Amino acid sequence: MLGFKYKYQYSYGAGESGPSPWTPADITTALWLDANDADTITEATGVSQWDDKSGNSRDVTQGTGSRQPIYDSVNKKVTFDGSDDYMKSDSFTELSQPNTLFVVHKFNGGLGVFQNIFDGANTGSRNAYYIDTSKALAFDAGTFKTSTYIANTSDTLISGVEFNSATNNSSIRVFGDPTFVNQACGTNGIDTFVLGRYDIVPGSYLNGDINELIFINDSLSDATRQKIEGYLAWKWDGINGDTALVDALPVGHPYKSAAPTA
Amino acid sequence: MSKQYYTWAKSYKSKAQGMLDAINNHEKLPLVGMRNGKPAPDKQMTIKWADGLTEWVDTRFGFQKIPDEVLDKMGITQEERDAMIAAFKPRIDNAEDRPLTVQQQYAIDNPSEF
Repeated sequence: MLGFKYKYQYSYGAGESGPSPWTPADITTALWLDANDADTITEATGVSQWDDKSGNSRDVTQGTGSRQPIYDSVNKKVTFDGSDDYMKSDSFTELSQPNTLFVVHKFNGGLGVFQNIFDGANTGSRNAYYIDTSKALAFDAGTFKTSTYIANTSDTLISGVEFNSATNNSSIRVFGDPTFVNQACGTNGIDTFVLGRYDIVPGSYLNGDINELIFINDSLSDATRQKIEGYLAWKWDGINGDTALVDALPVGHPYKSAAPTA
Repeated sequence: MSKQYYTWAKSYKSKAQGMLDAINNHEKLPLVGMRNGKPAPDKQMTIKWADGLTEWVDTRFGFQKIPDEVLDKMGITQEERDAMIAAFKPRIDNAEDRPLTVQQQYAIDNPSEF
């Protein structure tokens, strides 16, 4: 496990105990990929399988060697090369909206072309999160919508994406920032999970790292959403030398000074 | 380490396909994955090296070069590596020196499909 995890808060003396950290295991998730857990990573030529920790066995796999991303066991990340790497879970049955995704990720280069962090595999059943040719973070569940967030290659990001157009409540929140909310991006659900590319028009491969990804087949309360943001920020602060993850949470965020507890 | 590609001019596309077929059908595949340093035969294996040839906008064809550490892991001898290179005569290019693939260019030219 990461040595820097929760480093600022749980310093109890011998024999003492305190509240246990909150984790996504405390809620119902549809898919949970965690590069901090080496027990979930299988490496053949690269990463051939990344196990789902949600309990739904929606493991993502890649059987073609040249397309397998690389696992960095020191920095706890899975790196996609931007040319042909991707992984896929075929174990999805249709998950209709609302769907909510959180991902800790970083772009490594190649900005200016489409790069998909994740997508579906069918035009009518896709929830997609990507950067477009203007380097803006965007999403699509039948209608593409481009946000005001511009990607760079220096920052590790915590993205929260909600696909919930039934109430025009779709949103992209980077570090919980509420700037891009109340959007409509289509009504599609998702029936196959593709990590690192758009499966329909190949050529949109992710050139970047993924540390953790949490997919929830539901809309979340503000309280739960903020718990996940806090959990990810405190867990991954310091990764890639980036110590700004907790600082990047908005002023007034309930987990700006301490990680959530169960 | 940067990725490299075996590439051929368009007129030698059959050579590219021949080398890819030889690799994908090699007796050392499928390759069992490792989990925490132990073989994991019940998990996804590497069943082939590449799905097909990549085409770049400079009209060359090819596929990703297998890194030496992967060849070591597969138990491919230096003699066998040399023989394959001699038979198919690829050029070895660094990934960063390659132009966009035809598919990448298509994605840029057709943003409405996204």
